[in-house]
Amino acid sequence: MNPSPIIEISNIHTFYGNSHILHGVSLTIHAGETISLLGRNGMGKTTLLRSIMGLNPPKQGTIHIFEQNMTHVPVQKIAQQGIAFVPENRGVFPNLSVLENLNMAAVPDANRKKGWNLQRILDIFPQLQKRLNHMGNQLSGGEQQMVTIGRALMTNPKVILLDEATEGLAPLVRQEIWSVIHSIQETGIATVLVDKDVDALLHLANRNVIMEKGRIVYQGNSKQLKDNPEILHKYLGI
Amino acid sequence: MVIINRKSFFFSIIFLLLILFPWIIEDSFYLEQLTRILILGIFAMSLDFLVGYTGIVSLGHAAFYGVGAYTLAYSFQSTDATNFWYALPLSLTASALIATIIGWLSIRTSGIYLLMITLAFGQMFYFFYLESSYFNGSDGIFLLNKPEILFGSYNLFDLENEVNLYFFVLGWFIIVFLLLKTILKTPFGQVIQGICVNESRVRALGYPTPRYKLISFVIAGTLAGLAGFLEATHTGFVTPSYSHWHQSGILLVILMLGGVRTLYGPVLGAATIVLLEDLLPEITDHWKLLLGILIILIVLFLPNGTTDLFSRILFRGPIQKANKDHE
Repeated sequence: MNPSPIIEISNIHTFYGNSHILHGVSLTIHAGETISLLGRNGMGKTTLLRSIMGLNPPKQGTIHIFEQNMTHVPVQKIAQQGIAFVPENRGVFPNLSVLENLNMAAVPDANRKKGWNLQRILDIFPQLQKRLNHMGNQLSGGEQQMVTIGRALMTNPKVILLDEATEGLAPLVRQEIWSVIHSIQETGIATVLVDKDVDALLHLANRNVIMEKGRIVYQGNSKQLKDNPEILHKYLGI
Repeated sequence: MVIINRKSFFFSIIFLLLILFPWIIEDSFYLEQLTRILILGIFAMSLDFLVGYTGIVSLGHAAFYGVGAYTLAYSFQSTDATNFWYALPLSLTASALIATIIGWLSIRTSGIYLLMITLAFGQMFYFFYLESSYFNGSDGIFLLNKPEILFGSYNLFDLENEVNLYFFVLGWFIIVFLLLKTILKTPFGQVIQGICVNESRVRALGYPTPRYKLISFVIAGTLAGLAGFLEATHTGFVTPSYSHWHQSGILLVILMLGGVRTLYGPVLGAATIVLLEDLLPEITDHWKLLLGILIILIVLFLPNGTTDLFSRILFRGPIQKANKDHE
């Protein structure tokens, strides 16, 4: 594993207005790692992702990306560092076609020859091929999620933050999304996953992070977590 | 596919009618009205580009309309007719410059603050013309001649002739429509349409959105300047009311009447307003009351404006529109 982390979060405190959401969270994300963020609703998982992305910058603490302090820089600067965000509510642009949605995210990646391009996206999501000229608001939920993941990949990211990637999708579509996430993982892109499907997360993740009330209360690999079902029971109620 | 064919057929018919209009109806009054509708249409399309496609709701768009008109008036300072090739670029440059400054200061705000700051800038220009002796205050400036489109020393297209003026305006109308359509198809156009729906999502893709919003603001301002230039050419008269907030307000009403985010909707809205302002005073002295009621009825029953009515009749279905969503 790469010794210098891509993202290093130190002791961040994030607020929504007066509500104190994250209470001193620290986390490092290394190249190629898959991290699952677990925890009940309202424990700060989404806020943590939004803080990393700069959408909700922390009031205290620091976030370093590639050893640069990026705690208070604008969102686009963080995105340009190779951090992609797939938001909870499927951020497809309803007024653009599938093709336009994907193309507007294209960032030519000079550093990597095997960059993601439209053809590669269509290879992993063949279903989008015949929907290219449909508008974003004419797609099914699963297709919207495919476009959003595809769009994130088109930026050729080093890290993808996926918030509830499979929420509200039919079981077969969910299966497809998980297998795509698995193949993204194999290309060496680091992923941070938030999802309700704990089994799928434990299957994919190298490291599982459990959050409770805005704090990280447990970190461990999937085997350790499976061997200690009482931890899952205590923090997730399963 | 059927819809696209019906649509292009419909547009071709409209286009043909616009070209043949001076021969179909040989009444100069109606030609005059249509010229007015087309100029107001350009003005409204420029605001639709800003409001409907970029999501920047401005109450000061008339500032640029005034700048375009006053710059033309300024280039007429001598009694000689001004050269079109000099006057138009001057008008457009002035509007673009002012739009850059106002845009740079305004786009950082949003919602009600954006409305207030653009309103303030618009009114600033209005009072500047009103109080300035250089711009002849509330008396305004008469343009004794129309600009001359000179080729060598020969005035090829005499704008004093109202049919010529009509075609001149129609030409600009088509250019602006096609220009905006083309811009919206480019990657830049896609980014601003993304910003309109959800700005932070576009930023999360790595785009510096303020720059895109500013460029969009400048494009819209410059085209509003073009509309002001054309209106000044058309009426031969420039007054501070070009920049009054009422002008910006009525333009937003036109957008609502016609239907935002369609480009041709605002043109329909402009036609609706011009025709109603013409017809209603014949019915009653209190025609503005009637106009207000009609506007309320249209907004209540045709939320996407008169465009909706047309597309229901012509294309058998409401137009597909995307709604703004929130994170």
